[in-house]
Amino acid sequence: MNKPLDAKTALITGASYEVGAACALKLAQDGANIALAYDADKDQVEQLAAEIIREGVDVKLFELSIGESASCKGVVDAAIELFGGVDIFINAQTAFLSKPLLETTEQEIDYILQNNLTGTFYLCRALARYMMKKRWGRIINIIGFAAFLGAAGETVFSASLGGVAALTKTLARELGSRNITVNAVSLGLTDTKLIKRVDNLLIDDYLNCAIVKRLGAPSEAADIARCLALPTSEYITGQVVHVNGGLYI
Amino acid sequence: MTPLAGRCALVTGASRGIGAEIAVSLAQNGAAVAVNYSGSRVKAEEVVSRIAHIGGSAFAVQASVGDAKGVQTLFAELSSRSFEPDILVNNAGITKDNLFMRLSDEDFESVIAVNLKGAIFCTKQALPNMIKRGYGKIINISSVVGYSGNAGQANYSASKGALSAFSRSCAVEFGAFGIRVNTVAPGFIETDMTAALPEDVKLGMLKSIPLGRAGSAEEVANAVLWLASPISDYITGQSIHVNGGMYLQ
Repeated sequence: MNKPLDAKTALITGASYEVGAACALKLAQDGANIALAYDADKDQVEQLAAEIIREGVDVKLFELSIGESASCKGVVDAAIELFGGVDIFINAQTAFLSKPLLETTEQEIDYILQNNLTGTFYLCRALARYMMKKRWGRIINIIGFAAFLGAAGETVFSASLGGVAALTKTLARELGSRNITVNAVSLGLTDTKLIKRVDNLLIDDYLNCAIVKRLGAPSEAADIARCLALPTSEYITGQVVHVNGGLYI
Repeated sequence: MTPLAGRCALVTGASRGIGAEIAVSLAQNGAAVAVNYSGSRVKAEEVVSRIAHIGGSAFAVQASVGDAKGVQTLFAELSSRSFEPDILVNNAGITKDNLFMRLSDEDFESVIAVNLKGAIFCTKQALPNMIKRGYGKIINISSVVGYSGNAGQANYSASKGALSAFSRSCAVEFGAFGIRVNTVAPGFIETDMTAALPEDVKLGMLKSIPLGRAGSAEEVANAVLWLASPISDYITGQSIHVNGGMYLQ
């Protein structure tokens, strides 16, 4: 039986984190070959790769330093070479920082902006070069509610995500004529390792404000990312889709 | 009427354009103003003279805000003049427009450094005194393209979208200290920056503006004045769009 993403290849960053991993699995189930980029926990990414292979698609691993231009270009070039192209890009790698602004160092500011915002630019630029020639592409950036709702202790983190949201809209405008759609999925409180670093009382406060009073599952975010990656979604571009249980409306 | 009597305001990038009008407007309404400039000392001195001419108080002060050390030196100089800003206007901004695919690493990073990191550095330096006083007004000058995206401005729109998100999180983090943080997002404004745009681009923009004309720097300054004044003390975490209807929230 034909699957909607047969013969397509997806590059997914943040493969060692739950949302990236869930996206990779969903796309593999739809028939896409998967290039997994990771920055840590190689063992875990190898386990994910083993799961993906069972879907009958090809999978390869790439170590990526997302804050470095050369590494981003290197991984994109290698994935294009090994798979014969990359059609879908899901950027699910995000460095988190929760710290009062006055205690945040210049190095931390640089690290967060470089990884989350500038790194997204490096990767999108390298991929768009290929996608423009191919006249087809899907770019999906995973961001979070802090950029829209604001969050104490997350000034720099939220700035990096707000930057990606704006970058997403500009890229949608610039690349649209070549059949490349660019969208963002903005997460709410999602059940990941990261959330375990957040104070329980704070999580309760947030859940009290949300309409659906539970954490989101990584697979729920991945469902929307998958949907945006499908060929049938070509009329959706430049959008931020909020998957947050009504935390921010 | 001098609603800002006794207040000290630092306006970054105030030697010309929107920044210069903001500096004049705040001074006209009673604030002592530090007119920050990066390279154009003569222009900054002209703004200081304009202010002196209307009976206001101002001085020029050099700093490249994208450089953390430069910002430290700037605040040390203000402090040596016993000038502790209660109003901070993060206005300094640069553009390095180009098609997304043609943007170099440096084109992206330098725009982020001035437009975003500059605001972060200045905010960090200004906060301690505002917290001590239990009152402060921070106004970040973003741009319509931070909300709408704009072809040819991947770097600029990303920096401005990030600045707006930073602003929201600062409003949440520092609200308890009586510090109001808001964003003003100008649309198409007649300045040196927009004078450089090709005629056809300008005409295209005018068509998308319901009020049918470009805005003036003074009209942006009016919004900043309102946000800097006590009459807007219940406003925080907001974006005020001064754009003739070009982009609707």
